[in-house]
Amino acid sequence: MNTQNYILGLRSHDKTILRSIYKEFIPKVRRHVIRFGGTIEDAEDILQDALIVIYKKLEDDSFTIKVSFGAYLMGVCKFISRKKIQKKLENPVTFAEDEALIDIKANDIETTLVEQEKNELYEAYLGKLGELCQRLLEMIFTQVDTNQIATTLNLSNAHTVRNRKYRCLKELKKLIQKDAIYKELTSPRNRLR
Amino acid sequence: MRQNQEEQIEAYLNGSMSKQEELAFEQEMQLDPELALSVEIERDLMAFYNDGTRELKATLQAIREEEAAIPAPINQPPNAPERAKKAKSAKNRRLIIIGVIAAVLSLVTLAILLRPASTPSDHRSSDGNASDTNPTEMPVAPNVEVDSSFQNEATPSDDNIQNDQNSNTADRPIANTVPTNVTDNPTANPLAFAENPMLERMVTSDYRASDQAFEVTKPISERLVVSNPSAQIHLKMRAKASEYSSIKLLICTNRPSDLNEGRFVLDTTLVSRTLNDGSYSFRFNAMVNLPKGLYYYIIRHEGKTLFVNKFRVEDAE
Repeated sequence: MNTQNYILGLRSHDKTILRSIYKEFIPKVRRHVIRFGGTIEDAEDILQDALIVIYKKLEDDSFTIKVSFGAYLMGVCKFISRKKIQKKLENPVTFAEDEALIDIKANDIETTLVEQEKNELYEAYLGKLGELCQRLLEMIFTQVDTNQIATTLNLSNAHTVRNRKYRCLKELKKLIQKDAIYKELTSPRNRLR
Repeated sequence: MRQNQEEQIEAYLNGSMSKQEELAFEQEMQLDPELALSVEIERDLMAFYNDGTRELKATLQAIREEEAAIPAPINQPPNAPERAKKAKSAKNRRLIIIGVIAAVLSLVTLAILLRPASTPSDHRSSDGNASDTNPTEMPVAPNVEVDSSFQNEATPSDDNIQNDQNSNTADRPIANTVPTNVTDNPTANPLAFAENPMLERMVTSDYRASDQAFEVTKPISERLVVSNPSAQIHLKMRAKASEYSSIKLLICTNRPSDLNEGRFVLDTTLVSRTLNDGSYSFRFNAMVNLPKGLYYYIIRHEGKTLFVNKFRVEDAE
């Protein structure tokens, strides 16, 4: 498959193409990650993260991949695994820059990674809330009309919806304040260069 | 000013505040970290629920799970059911239980660390090194499921294999977690000695030379052949830098799936002892009770693989 097909498939979430990307590249990523002491899960996470990074880059129409898709993907994967390894080490090793990545800014990748990590955290936090809270927050933050939320969730009126939202957010905040990972993720140390 | 904080946050985030209101609100946030966090959470939630990658992530997750469910065509497991075997120890030994890891659920995860109370094998007390023996030079209990215990010799000796074997330390079998649903017929399983290509590459690459700060001093040769039963594994490693005050020792079968899925025969941490010359030494001695086959040992430090080598477990004679 050529680079253009891969890009089209990734852009359109085409499951068949995504699967062939996965099958083609997971052995390479696995080898790389395990060589540096990671696990098979790490490898799968890294490939997934890398595809999301590229997907986000593709939202910008002017973005083009100058090398082959495979080289580019592997470049991003290596970058991510490096980041994860460096995080684990006290004295991070320095790695040579990857040529495939010359046109992608390290910052782009890191921003996406922190976003992804944050989203995963939220997924976990939200999972701890009651079902009503989960549905309510999702509707509110995807701009569903307050009256419609009241009807759907069987709440008496828009005022109740607002009250509920307040309570759900309070609960969420409590969870977050208890969690050290959130703090670490939002600390300036993580906002890299 | 808006009536309550909730409305203020909402207005701030959807940009419906006037410039003046916005500045005032930002000032308020700086003085009130609670408020700042509330704003951040709502901003995060907006990003979370409107993240364009959610759908892609779900698709990728599905593919990942589906692909993981398909068993890869890989090597057969090394042969022979585990022979539950007690370490026979005619040797006199006085042992102290160092640590106990409690059992979790139905898994027997009890691992007892033993060491000689005195050091009758302490045949190097003349070098002045024995007195400051680090009593912690032994593996921390493995965090894999084990059905028997193992131990690390705690002698301060840095001598050769003969001395090790002459010491009064009782050797215990290595825990065997290799699945046992295989036959005991060696001819039925020619793959027990098949090489794991991924690890093979690391064995043959210059891993030994790649990290000057760390080296395996024993075995000197690249190969270590262990005979069953009652065979022993002796490993010695030396590190120049104190950052290697503890290292991880993993023993893995030749099956790629075991490696990939982190199913190790042994997974333990070795703690170093300081030698006179300022370097750090690690030792690992254990009696092997493993099915016949090819095994790899992997030494890691903080997630970085320092060294990979292999050994064969064969029948005696």
